[in-house]
Amino acid sequence: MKNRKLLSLLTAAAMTAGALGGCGGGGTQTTAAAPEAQAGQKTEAQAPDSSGGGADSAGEASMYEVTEPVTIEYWYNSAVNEDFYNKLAEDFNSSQEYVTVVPVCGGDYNSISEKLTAAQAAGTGLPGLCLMSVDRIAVYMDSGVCEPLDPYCEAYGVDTSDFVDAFMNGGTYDGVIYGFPHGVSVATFYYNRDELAKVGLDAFPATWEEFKTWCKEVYDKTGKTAYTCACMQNNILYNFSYNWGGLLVKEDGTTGFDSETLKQYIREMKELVDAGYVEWSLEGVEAVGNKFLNGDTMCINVSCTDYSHYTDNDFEVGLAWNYTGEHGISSVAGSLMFIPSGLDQKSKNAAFVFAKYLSSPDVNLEWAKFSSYLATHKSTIADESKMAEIYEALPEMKMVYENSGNYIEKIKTPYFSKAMKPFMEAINQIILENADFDETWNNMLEEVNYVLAGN
Amino acid sequence: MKTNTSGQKKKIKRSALEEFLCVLPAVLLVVVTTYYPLAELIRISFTDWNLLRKDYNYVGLKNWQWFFENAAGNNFYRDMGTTLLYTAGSVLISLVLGMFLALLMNRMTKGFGAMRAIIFLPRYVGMSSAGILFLWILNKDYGIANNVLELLGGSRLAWVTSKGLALVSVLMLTGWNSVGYAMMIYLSAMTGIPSSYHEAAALDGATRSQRFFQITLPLLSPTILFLLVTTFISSMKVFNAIDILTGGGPYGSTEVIVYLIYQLGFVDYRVDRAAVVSLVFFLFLLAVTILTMRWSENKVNYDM
Amino acid sequence: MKKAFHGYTKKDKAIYWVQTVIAVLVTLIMLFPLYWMVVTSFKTGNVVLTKEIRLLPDSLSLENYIEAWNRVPLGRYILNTVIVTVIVMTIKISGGVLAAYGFARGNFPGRNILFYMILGAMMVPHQVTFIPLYILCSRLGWVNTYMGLVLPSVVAPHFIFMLRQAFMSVDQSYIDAGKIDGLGTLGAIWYVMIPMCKASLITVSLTTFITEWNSYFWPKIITQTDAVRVLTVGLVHLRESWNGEALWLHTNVTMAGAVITMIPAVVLFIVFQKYMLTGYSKTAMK
Repeated sequence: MKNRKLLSLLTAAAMTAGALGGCGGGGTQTTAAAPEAQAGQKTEAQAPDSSGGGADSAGEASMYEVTEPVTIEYWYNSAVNEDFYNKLAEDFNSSQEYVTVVPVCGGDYNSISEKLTAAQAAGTGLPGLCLMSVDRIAVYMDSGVCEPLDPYCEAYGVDTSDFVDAFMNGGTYDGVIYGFPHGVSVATFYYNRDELAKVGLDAFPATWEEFKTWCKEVYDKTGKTAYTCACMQNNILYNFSYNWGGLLVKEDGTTGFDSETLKQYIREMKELVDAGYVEWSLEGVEAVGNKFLNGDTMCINVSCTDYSHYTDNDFEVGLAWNYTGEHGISSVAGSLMFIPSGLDQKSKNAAFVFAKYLSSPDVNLEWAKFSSYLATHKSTIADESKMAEIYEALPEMKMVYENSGNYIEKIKTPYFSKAMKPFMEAINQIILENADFDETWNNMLEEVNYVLAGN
Repeated sequence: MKTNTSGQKKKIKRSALEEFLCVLPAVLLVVVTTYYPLAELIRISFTDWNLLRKDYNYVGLKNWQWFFENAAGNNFYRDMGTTLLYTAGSVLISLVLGMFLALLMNRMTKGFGAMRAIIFLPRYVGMSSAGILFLWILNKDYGIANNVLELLGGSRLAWVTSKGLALVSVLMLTGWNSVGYAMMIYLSAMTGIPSSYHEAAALDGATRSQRFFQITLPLLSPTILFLLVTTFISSMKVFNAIDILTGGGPYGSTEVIVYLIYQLGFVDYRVDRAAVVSLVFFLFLLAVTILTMRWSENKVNYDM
Repeated sequence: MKKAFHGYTKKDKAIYWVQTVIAVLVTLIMLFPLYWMVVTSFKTGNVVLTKEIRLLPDSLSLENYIEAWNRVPLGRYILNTVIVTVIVMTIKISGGVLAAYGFARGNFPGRNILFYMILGAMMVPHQVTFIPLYILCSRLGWVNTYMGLVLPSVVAPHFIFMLRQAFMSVDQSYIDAGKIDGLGTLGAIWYVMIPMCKASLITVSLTTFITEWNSYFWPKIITQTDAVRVLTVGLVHLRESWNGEALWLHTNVTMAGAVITMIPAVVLFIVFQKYMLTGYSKTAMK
């Protein structure tokens, strides 16, 4: 009898042990509170001088200063950039004495996200500086994954107003800075200049009407698809929706997709697809890009950062800006760098020193020349000699920079990707599976509003 | 009645202790891997835990409210429907096709034994390999399924990428994987039916199909029920085949409940909501099992 | 009187042959996907992407296997799978045998409650427990480790159930004889139970191996790097190491990987068929 009672007690205890162990908020709450306390202190002390590494100022050492050797990891996404980052880290490490940066390719953004979440829960293995795509950063910023950077900027005298506004806005939330722009890009059209010149159609259309006629003529004269759209890319569809008069989120928080103009444009695009002039492809960017490189399609629109990939072949490639519908914008995509809030303070300080270096105008210029991501500083863009360097390395990017007035940041809501999903599915079903337009559209509106309402 | 001396009493106590210790490891492991998670699920469902954040608060019934009020919006009904549809197809394949195969392969020769083994074999090819194989076979542009279809004069089908056919493709994969099992279960039950029944009926002039419907089938009813319940439950839990073959798409047409739980927890990071859906799902499965067991006690024909 | 094996009517003969033909056809259809997997894994070059149906590979070169081996750390994946499977089998089987014995022959207070607890656990599927288990593992730092991979699979309620049935059927006299010879509990298990229930044990062991070798869901969730990746997850990784068109162009390499992944389980099945097939049907009918 005793044993039985003991057993039931044990079992009951085991089951509730979860409840006790689960109040893990306790331990971590203290570290979360600490930076705030420090920030409070910070306002009293004076901002130490910057220029990397321990320069002291009026007496008090700031808690944002790096005073001992620290090693941090830098997680980046594409393996293509491995050599660049390795060299960069070498230069940085030898340029100052305390911080050692180890670049690690974390895989794609999904991978990085998974690793980050697991590291966060375990409390170890967090990188110092991490790249994340613009979409997801919004979710991170909303969830407290990113360290607020304002006090660091103040401590190190970093002036964020030199960053291009549209780019910097992607890294701020509720007025607090959480990240610096790093790999910024916009989508542009790439077209096969050689083939099109042969049939006299290499003047890229500037308006929607011109685009429609152009597609038909290209198809008739070359027998190839005029344009292939990788319709699973949410930034591409966001651009279309914006240019076609439908805003993802209006002022009042509901979706602006219930726009007749938008629906009309979609109908007209569907006609182009049905006629075979335009291909609406569910495949990834790589597959679509391969079609372009093989000459199966005359035009694609993908990120400007794939510049060298597409221009490095045996036909001439031209870049063109988005034709004008109701608007002619291209939304800003790419990555931002942020510091995970779960790190210890000295690693965060070290990470900021590196972040400052990585995002500085000079390093950023080298980055822009190498990767064809956009230069992120207004001072760089205004400086003709620097731009000349970029144009020399990447001639067609001139067009992209000249259109900077038409960059637009994606509407900042942590629900961006989630809200775009029903929209993309609806359009794809309408165009590819001939789904009933109004019914699909109304369902989509409901779903998008549901997501935007914070569900 | 033996009278126990104190020595014997000690021995009994000691062996009882030893036996208890024998079961202890398994019991502890079961608690950790089964009961603890269940308790945690209940607890988490009362929080607002977002896996990205470090701490969370208890918010009472908020998530349960979210679940019941927004079931339509959060795709629960749609996914439940998809899962039930899939399960219906899977049960049909196992029960009907399995029966057909059992009748077909019901001959005790070596050749037939080998053929039965081949039909059972797909069960041992892991779903990972099988899924990737079927992705290749069902590829629209280059897969052999469409090549054969074209040869026979049909047109190429988008097996895995079109809304209408995706679920069918998944059923093909899992059906191929599991029909052998149903066949074997039926066969072993059929061997338990004394041949004298069939002989007697044949003497009375019963035709094959009469013998099937009036002798075999009723005597197999416990087997059929067993297969029904086990196939139902294992089909409701499907994930691997879907993850590899369609990833829940296209347009959510193959998104099943487990996939929804996975998405809520690992893509949206809302483990609190995932916990609610997990619990509802678990209770549903539990209810089905208990109900069918109760029902079977009445309906199934056990007499031999 | 119908004579047993002589008086076959014409109709009977026809049915016999029709049955044979259909059976063979059905078997070939069921076998075809596997055949196709193996054949494709030997095809070289761009042969993969034709619209004609080529039933035989042009050569039996191991080119694709070598490429698969080099493209992803296949050797490492195999090692990981072996390690994980061995650990799981050890814990699952030893814990299971002990528990089955305790429940079958044991007589201690609380025995029935504990047994029902184990039975109850049969009703709770992995797909329901995986989220809290993942959270537990990430708190313990077990994500992307062998410990984490092994955790959910270390106990199998329905093996305990099956083994208990087998143990209960062993006559008490054997155990008594053993006890007279001075065997304790462990001795009883080792020298009496296990030898007498060999068939069930072999079935249980084989099924455990195969289930663990082929397991995909949990490893997928808990794995992040190649250090602990197992074959099932690694296969998908191999496939996705190419993008777009290249993915299909390299189908033959992917198939080679798939063959490697499935070989152990299939070979075990073929060799130990009788254990697998009978084991299932008998004990399944509770």
